[in-house]
Amino acid sequence: MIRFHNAGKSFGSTVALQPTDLQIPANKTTVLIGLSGSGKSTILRLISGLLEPTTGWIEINGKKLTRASLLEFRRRMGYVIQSGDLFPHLTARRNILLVAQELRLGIDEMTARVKELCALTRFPSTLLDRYPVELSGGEQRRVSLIRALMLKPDMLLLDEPMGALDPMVRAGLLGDLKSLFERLNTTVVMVTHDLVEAARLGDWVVLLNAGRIVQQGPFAEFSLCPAEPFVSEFFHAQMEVVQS
Amino acid sequence: MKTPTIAMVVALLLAACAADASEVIVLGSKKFTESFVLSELAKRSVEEAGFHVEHRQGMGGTIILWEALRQGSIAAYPDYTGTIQEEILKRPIAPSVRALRQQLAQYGVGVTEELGFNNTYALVMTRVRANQLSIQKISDLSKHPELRLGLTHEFLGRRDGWGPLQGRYGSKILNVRGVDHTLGYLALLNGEIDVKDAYTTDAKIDENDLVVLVDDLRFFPLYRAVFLFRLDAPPRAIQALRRLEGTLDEARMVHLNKIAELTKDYSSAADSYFKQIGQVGNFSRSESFEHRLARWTVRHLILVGLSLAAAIVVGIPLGIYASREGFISEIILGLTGLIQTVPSLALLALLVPIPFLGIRPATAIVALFLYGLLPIVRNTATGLRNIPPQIRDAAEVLGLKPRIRLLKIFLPLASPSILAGIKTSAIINIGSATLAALIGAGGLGEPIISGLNLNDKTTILEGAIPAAVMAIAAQGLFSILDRFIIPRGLQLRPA
Repeated sequence: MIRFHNAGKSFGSTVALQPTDLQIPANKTTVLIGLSGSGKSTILRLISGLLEPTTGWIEINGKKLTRASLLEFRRRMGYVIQSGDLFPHLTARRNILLVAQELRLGIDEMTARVKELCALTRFPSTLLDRYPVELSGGEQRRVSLIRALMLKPDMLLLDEPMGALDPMVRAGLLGDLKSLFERLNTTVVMVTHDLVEAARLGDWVVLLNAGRIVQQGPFAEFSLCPAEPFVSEFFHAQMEVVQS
Repeated sequence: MKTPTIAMVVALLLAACAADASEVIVLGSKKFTESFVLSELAKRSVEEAGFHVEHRQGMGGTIILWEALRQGSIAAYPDYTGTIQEEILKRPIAPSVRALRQQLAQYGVGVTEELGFNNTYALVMTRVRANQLSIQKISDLSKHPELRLGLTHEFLGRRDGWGPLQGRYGSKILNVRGVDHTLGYLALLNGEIDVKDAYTTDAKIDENDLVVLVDDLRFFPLYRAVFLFRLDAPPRAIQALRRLEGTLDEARMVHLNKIAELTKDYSSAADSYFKQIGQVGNFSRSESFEHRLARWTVRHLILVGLSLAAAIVVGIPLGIYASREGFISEIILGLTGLIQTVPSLALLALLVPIPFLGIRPATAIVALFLYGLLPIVRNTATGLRNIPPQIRDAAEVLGLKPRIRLLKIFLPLASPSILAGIKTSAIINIGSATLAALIGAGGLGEPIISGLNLNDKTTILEGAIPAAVMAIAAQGLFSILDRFIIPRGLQLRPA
């Protein structure tokens, strides 16, 4: 379980996230949704320690997240972003094994884990020795997922993992993510601006606007009882885009 | 990690010095024909006394040679009494050899007796132009403020040079340019300048029927040629040097200078001298062109190689520091940039008085090392700064330690930029290393400088062409290296 205690982030006079209390349930998939600049990515970057809160603090599994404890937390986190997070000078396999090799895990253990994850993410293991530039966008996201899952993390953080993919590839990956999250049974926090992704993947959905949580709960609740007019506006705008 | 880096650089530099510290007698000469010829004579004479002699040709001006002599980088060089008085002692004493000897002893420097001729400064014009304006004396110059003067840089700066001369004669000529001595003669003959400074024993005066303007106010002191030598030099070597005393009158010196300029070969002038005084030059060892070229090229490669290696070893860590935001990085980039703006010749001159450097290849290597820093530091810093933020985030969130991030991810990603910096540095250094010959460090600059002096294009090209070829070869070599060093994943194009 991840808890925000009045945690907020400002850059100078610009508020990215207002002081926020938030509980992210363990072993469920939480989707953070909102327009760009709403503060959804800031939450993810605060959890991963890429940003430090300017107010309040963050607690992970009952322990406060501090600069000193960061490395320990990170070894238990998997992180995937939209695109370009693979190291271009390393093959898919070396991208995946980089940290495991630093930690000197056994070769048999590593090979078995890679094989298992290739099956889980439906990534053809014949492509493991290709460089990122030789892989398609969808294949790159799968490699990034395998890399994030290599050390069996307690939580998986995804920042718009399908943002840069074309619609066909995206539909395929969406289904794969759905079954992956179900089988992993781990805490997943995913940022998106796409309602379809939120509806299909989110056990718990958090809607943000202008650095503030507007509403949170199961997806169905949002259209049934919107907390404020912005919720309906957000939903209708997206539906119109889909229909037009 | 820093200490071994520095130790390595020091070791490289010491190695360069050590190569230079064997038991040979090293002679220096200034950057003009007569000085070359005199040192060549001394070389023959000292060689005959059984020593191995090295002649560092054309080491630049008086101060560089004087410092080299005092530091012991050279054992002797030819100079003139007026110059010693005006430029070295800076005292208005009577320039008798005896008085000079007394003054110089405190520096551990001795003086031979006069070699036999007086080579004073003079102002010269073409006969046509002098007649046209009816100028015969230096005082006539003040009637023609429109005259164009091309003076050597040394003459412009000397206490017995243009400034004080103008004061004494009260002339008001404004159009004065600094021109190399040999090129100045060409400019004079082509009518691009009207007046230039000369040495009275210049062969060019006679050859081109130039008019020497009469020093009617007796401004120029006497410049009697002598050798300066270190008092701690081997006595037999000093004796050999002194055998030249009183053997060169003005006519003979002019003749030797003429031979040197006609044959484009200083050792043939020496041959002529020793034939005349009845010693056949059987110890004349004329080096073949291939041998000379190999010697220059090897020395050039050593100068460039050592300085580049040091610049890489120091430049990459500096570049890594400079890639971070903040004050120190600004200082590093500012300083390395500043060094680059100092003209290479000035940088050499500034380094010469520093203890442990002086007139030796190590000084040239230090100067080239300093020049080589900027491209490497800047490209390392830029290469690291340009790494995309999502890669930085990914490396951080994966929980890799900073050192591993740098070595396994950031440096390989910056490698194309770093290699481009090293390539630039190497090519700049191949060019700049030609100036090393000015402080006697040898290399392909040796024929270039000596060719400039003799106004001999062939000799200049003997150095310039190999230097250009070396630069092109370096370019090719680095393109090949790129393929091996830059990670394959960065060389692929998207499918």
